[in-house]
Formats: sequence, C-alpha cells, structure tokens
Amino acid sequence: MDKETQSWGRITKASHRQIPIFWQHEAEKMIAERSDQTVLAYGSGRSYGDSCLNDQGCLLMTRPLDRILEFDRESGIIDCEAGVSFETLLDLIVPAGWFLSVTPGTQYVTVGGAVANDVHGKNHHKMGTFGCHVEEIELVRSSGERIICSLNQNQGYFAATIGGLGLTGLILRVRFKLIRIETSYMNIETIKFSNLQEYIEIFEDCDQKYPYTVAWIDSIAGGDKCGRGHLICGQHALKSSHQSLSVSKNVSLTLPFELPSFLLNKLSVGAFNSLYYHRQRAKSSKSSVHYMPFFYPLDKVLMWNRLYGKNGFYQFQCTVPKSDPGALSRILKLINDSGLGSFLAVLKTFGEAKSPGILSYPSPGFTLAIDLANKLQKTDKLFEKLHEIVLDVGGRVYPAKDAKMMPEIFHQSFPNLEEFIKYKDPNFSSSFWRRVTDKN
Amino acid sequence: MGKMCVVVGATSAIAHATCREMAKSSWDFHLIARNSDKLATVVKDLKAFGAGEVSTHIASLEELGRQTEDQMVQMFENIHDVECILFAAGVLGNHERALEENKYCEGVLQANFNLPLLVINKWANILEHQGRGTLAVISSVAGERGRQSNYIYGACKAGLTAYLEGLRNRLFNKGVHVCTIKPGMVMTPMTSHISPSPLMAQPRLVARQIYSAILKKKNSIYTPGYWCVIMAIIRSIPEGIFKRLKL
Repeated sequence: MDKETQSWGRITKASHRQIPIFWQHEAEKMIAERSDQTVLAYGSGRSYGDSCLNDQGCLLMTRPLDRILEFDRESGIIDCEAGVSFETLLDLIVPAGWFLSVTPGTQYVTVGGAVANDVHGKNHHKMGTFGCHVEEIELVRSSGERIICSLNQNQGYFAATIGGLGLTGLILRVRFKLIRIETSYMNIETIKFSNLQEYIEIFEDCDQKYPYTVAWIDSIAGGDKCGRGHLICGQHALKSSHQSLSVSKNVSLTLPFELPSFLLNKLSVGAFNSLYYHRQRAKSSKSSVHYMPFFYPLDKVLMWNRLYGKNGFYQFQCTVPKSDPGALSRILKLINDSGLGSFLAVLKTFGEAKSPGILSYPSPGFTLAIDLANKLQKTDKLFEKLHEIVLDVGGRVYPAKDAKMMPEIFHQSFPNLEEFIKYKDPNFSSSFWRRVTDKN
Repeated sequence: MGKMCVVVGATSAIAHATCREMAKSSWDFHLIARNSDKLATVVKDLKAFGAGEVSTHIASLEELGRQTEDQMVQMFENIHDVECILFAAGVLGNHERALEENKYCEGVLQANFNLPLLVINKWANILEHQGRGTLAVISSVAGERGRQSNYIYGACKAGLTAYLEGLRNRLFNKGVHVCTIKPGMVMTPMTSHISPSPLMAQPRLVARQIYSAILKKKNSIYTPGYWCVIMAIIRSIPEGIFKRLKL
C-alpha cells in the first residue's frame, strides 16, 4: 500500500510503501523482503527537503525502535536504538545530570537521523558535530549483513555512515557520549547588533567566552540595517545559581491546520522582525532560562511548519568561508531584495572541529540557515542566484535542509564523494541522492 | 527493594511504555512474554530508565492458563510481595477472517476473553491471600458498544470489562483493588495497519495515565481521557439510529 509522505518543508511529497520496523531482530527480514524496490530509513521526517524521502520506493519507519539499551550514569555513555528521539533521551538523562553533547534546534529528531545528517548545534565552535561524540554504530545492510563500526572497527563504514544520509544501510543502534550538567538551566546573554558588520566584529569574542552562540537575524531589513539581529550566547548554569535538574513538561500547542499562504509576506514578516529586533532595548541583556526555550524554541508549537500554508517552504542553509564575509553580505542582500525571507533566519560560525563523517556538512566558516517562502518561480530564481554565490566562493549547502541544490554544488560541498560511494548500500537510495548524482 | 509489578504481555507497546514510567520510580518487575529476544530488549530499556530488580518468564497466555496451582504458587513465591499485576495480553485480530473461519474466531476469543479470564481468576486469589495490591487490566473502548466493524473483539472486551466489575466488587473488602483500563486508539504494532488519525494516541501518553490510575486506585479509566466524552456520545445514540451507521 503506497502512502504519500512529506518531509518537514511540506514541499516535496513522495509516494512510498511504508514498512514499520518494530524490533531490531526483524530488520534483516523486512529489508530482504523489499528487494524489488530501493529502501531508506525514515525517523521523524524533520529533514526539510527530500533527503528523507524515497519516491516510488520503500521507507523503513524506525520510530518504533525507541528503546534504550544501556545508560551508564557514571560515565555518561548511552547505547540506544536508532528510533529513540532526543526528547526521550532528555527525559532520561537530564534528571541524572547529563545533557546531549550536540543537539540541533529540535528535540524531535531521532538518534539515527542525528547520525545520518551528522547534526550540529549552537556549540559547533567548541564541540563539533553529533558524529564527534559517537562511539559505535550498528548497521544492517540489504545483504542481511550486520556491521558494527567505530573508530577502531570497520572504520570505513563508520566514516561513511556519519553524515551518510541513511544510504549505507539501516542504522539499528548507536552508542554515544553525553556531557555533564549541574542544572537544567542556562545562563544567557543576548547582544543586539545593528548590522552584519557589527556581528562580524563581535562574534569571535562571544565564541571564546561561551560554549553556545547563535544569532537570529532580520532577513527583511535592508540597507544599513541589513543583517541586524540578536547574538544569543549561553552556558549551562552551575549548582550555585540553580538547584533543579528538571525536564520541562510544558504543554505544547499544535497548529491544527495550515495557514493561508498570503499571511506570510514581506510586510507581515518585516513587521514581526522589526518588533522582535526591538523587543530588547538594551545593547546587552543577561538572564537565566530553562534549557527548553534556549535549545528548542520552536518545539513549543508542534507542526509549526503549517505556518507556511499549503505551498510549504524551503530551508536554505549554506556555509561560506570566514575569509569572505562579503559573500554573506551578498547572500543577505539577495534575500532582502527578493522579499522571500522569513522570521526564521539564523547565523552561526562553525569551528575547526573535524567530524569523522565523510559527508559531514559543517566546515569552518559562517553558516546561514533561513526559511524561504515557496513562491514558485520567484523562489526558484532566488535559489539559482544563491547557489551561484555559494559555488563562486567554494561554499557548501546542507543536504538535510535542501530541496534545490544542483549536482555541481553537491560535488563541490563533498569532494570525497567517491570515497563515500564505496560504502553506499546498493539497495538503499533516496530522492535526494538521485537528484544530486546520476546514480541509483 | 522497590515495589513489585508482575506484567503479562510485557513486550506489548502499552505495557512496555507503562513499565517505563514505573521504572523511573525504581519499581521491580517480573515480566512475562512469549518472545525472549523482545523481552531481553525491554529489560535493558527498563533498567536504563531506573528499574530495580527485573526477572523474566517466557510463556504464552496458553501456558499461563495451563499452569497448575502449585506452579502458580511457586511463581509468586519466587517474587516478593506483589504491589501490582498489569495484564496486557490480547490481539485485535482480523474481524472479517473471524467471521468466516470458526477456528480463527476461537483463537480471538481465547486470546481476548477465555484465557485472560482463567488466568486472572487464579491470580486474583494470590492477591486476595496477600490482602493488598492492584490488578490493572487492559480492556478497550471497543467493549462499550458492539459495532459492525469490530464486534467479536468488542464482545470479548465487553465481557472482560463486566468480569472486572464483578471482581472489583468481590475483592474490595479484601484490600485488593481492580482497575479497568479502556484505551481508545493507540499507535502500536497492533494498529499499524490502520491509517494514522488525530485520534491515535502515543503509547507514552497512555502509559502516564495508566500509571497515574494505578497509583490513585481508580476504578476505571478511559485513555486518553477524551474517550470518555466520545464513548458517552456513542452510547447515547439510540439503537434505532446506531444500527444504520457504518462505524
């Protein structure tokens, strides 16, 4: 029975046979039974584009593989099935005084998805990617072979699977390391900057002082206000200021239906951005918050992707070298001029930490992640120009967010592609893979 | 030593999720299930979440039903004072097939009514002898009213619910509490063939409500709670109208 599946951007829709995997020991049989179609694992479907889709193929639904196999509360090493969500992990580890070494901006991703996209977070400049903290991965190939890989065993598979977009096989189990925390609170400092130039002057100092830094920028403001925003810096609060190790169980709202797409336009978004920029009067402000709103501000509104209406939206995330801040400026100006920017635009710096993953996305530089409304041809034209700039400066585009990149950008972003292909499973494929390579 | 919970059908999604909630409060467990691989994984998960002592027993419902008095007493003697028995065995079955094949239909009746009743009959005496404890049994909203798409399973659950009412009545003065749990639609392997709908609940939400009901000694709960309203409406529809519907 073919079901229509969407990814988070709600643009790419694809038709699949969905096969849930309830237990690890069933995996080989479930994959072998699908030898007539290509397969791909699907966790929470939080990728924005088509990297989690396999149109006309088969999706192995891994959410039922959500069991913790071992949690060493002394050393902070955890071993779990690939369908465990970060939300479940936090529920378990926070009261025990541990936190995720690296987390993206939503807790609704699975561990398998975190490995497959080698996710990064606000602390990349200090801690690298999720893959940097993975000790072992258990993989099932379409041949039925189980491979346990790590830095010391089957290293090639290890390197190919981290950031490998699920194409090396079905990730069954992952063992990884957590970080110690004393409380579930964050001390934060928010610094207002009036344009991109000012951001470039202040970010290095903040990156040195704080383990977590990220900037929200106003993607509509133009001229000398282009790139204005708030630089949000944070660190885990110590026991001296707070006592609690609580998991926030605040009720979330669900957006019950998609909004009409005309609601989000240059005027409404521009107005919102302006209000938001000015909500902080002081240049710098300090406060203390629970980890939830610091790490996962959008998780409060479930199905927030419906805000963009039935046309869905794109996310564009690119990295440009620090040596060329002009490229960032040109990108922002293009987005300003198009009027397609939204209230969600985030700027960060990637550090030097190297991930073990061959197709790992972060590389040293500035990374900009922005939602772009889907206004069909207008958006297509914008993407063409954005990609031209990225190609020109030797930058990269992030597959987990992408629905548009051409093969040239993929090849430029990942020059070690041939090395990766040695470990790709012949029966695993995705819509993304077929789009950016001429392979199956 | 923590509080002890004996679980029948420990590898079922709802039972496992409920045990996870209990594990966070360091309960001990005696887990009964048919498949040793699945049970081993569940044990690891519960231990990671903080469970105390966990013992296991591989047995099907038929095997439990065939236990002699001695075997049953021995089983309970090996585990310390039982605070709670969670009974989560059952199969949805294929309704059309049950209508056509008597043998298959018999299997559905066995799994959902006959065997649970026979096992609970005997185990209730253990709790009565103890003079304390809670028996929490998973029935279903399907037992509230027979409907054309599901009435064989529904009849089993209706019978089970009535049996539990009587048992609750009998055991009240003996210090033992009986809790009837009536889930609506829950996203589990048992319902994986049904298209997802907004009414499908996550096992962990249902689990929290079941654990709360056990602690508060509720007589019977719908889970998620809004099924109370849905079923009140379903029950109130006059039969003259209900028989024409295609629910």
